[in-house]
Amino acid sequence: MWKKTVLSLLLALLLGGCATLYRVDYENKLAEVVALINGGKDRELSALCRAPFLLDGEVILLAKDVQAFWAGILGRGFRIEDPSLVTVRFVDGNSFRRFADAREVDFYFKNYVSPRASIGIMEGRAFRLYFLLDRYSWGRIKIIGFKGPEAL
Amino acid sequence: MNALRHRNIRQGLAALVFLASGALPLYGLEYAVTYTEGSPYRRGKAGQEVDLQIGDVVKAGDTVITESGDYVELESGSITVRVNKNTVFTIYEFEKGGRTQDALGCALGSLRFKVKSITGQEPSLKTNTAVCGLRGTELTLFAGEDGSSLVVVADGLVEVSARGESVELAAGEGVEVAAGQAPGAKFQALAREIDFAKWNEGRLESLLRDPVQAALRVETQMKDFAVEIGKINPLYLESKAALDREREQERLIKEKQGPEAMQKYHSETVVPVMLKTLNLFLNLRYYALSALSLRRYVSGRMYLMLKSRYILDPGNPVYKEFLAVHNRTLELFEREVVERFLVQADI
Repeated sequence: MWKKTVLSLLLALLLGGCATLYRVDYENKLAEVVALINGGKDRELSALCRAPFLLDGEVILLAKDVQAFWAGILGRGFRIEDPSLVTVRFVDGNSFRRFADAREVDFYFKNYVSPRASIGIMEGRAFRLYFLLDRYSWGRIKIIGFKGPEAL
Repeated sequence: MNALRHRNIRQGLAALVFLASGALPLYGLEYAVTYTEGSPYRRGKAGQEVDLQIGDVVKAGDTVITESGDYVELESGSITVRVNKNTVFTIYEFEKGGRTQDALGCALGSLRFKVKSITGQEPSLKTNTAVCGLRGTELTLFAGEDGSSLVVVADGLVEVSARGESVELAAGEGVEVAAGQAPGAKFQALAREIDFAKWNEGRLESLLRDPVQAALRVETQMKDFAVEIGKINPLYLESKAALDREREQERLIKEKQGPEAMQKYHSETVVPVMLKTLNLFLNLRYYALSALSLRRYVSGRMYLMLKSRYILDPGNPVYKEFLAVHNRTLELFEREVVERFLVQADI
């Protein structure tokens, strides 16, 4: 009986440890993303993204359109003043609703978002932003979705 | 209710796979990749993306995507398709006159189509806003940022249709079709003299000058697709109900008269109803996938452009009006297309 309990505890610690490590990785990546946005580095930001990309409720299929989006908003002077991380949440069956309450977006999550993915919520001085991040081989993290800015 | 609808779509798709496996004749063509430049890729039916190589085969449901510096040539019998840079080219299937046919779709960018000799078996060509019936041998198709299309004929005759109106083009003639509009006036042109990039730049300028009007045209086009779906769907449901009745009858015949009588009934009665049902389903899917193409390559890209333009001024009245029209289009698409006729793999 005690062996089972110890094994369960070890397993829980291991899984919890993985989740914590993943969360730290995502937090670090978000800090990098914010630095790129505030530095106006659209090319570097695009390199961190993957298409199909979710922009609010839109599934963007072409990588060049994702690049055009970052170039467009950073070129117009979009920055995150006084950035702060609100939270990083692992995705669940209802996470698609954060982006749009639509079957299309639900299908996007089912097709392209792994259970290891997270939604990072950042706040600037006047708005809130949502970043959808996912893990790939060798621990690489990609931005696969963005929503915002939402007025606070 | 939604689960039931999606089961019906999945059953229909499974039946199409069965037909495509050779159990019954289909006339969809396969296109061999004969030349590539750059790094073009293919998006399959289930959304998987694969680099395109010489010798690969592209067929109904596939999309070929080229970016700047890419170019692809495809061949099927006497047909040659040249997919230029920055183009999204999809092969659709639909039923016409009891036969399955291909429609070669240019959702974005430009392609050149050439056929050595007209046999009547040629595919149709389409953009998000127009359909070209071929009675000619060479033409170029352009699909612009705002959903507009431009068709220019180099040789033979081509009939360009949109919103129930048609224009016949002869060699050296062209026509522009805006989203949600009938074809415009014919003009004299040669495809090689038309600078697609310049034409597309003009379409983009027009879109940015009056985004609300552009969004309204897309909404009209989406409504047109919904109307076509609305016309076919009752026929499909009726045919499907008839098929269910015939299958029940077939089961009773097997019980009462044996497998031989059942086989006879199956081939003489059930198969024609089954084919009719599948053809109707194929056309439903054709319009649903056309609506999806409009959504992805015109409406979604418009949203992206406008969002980045007004990122620091979200309260701008023009932007707000654009969003109102865009959201109406999305609601229509979600209600009439996604929830009824698309499955997860389409997205």
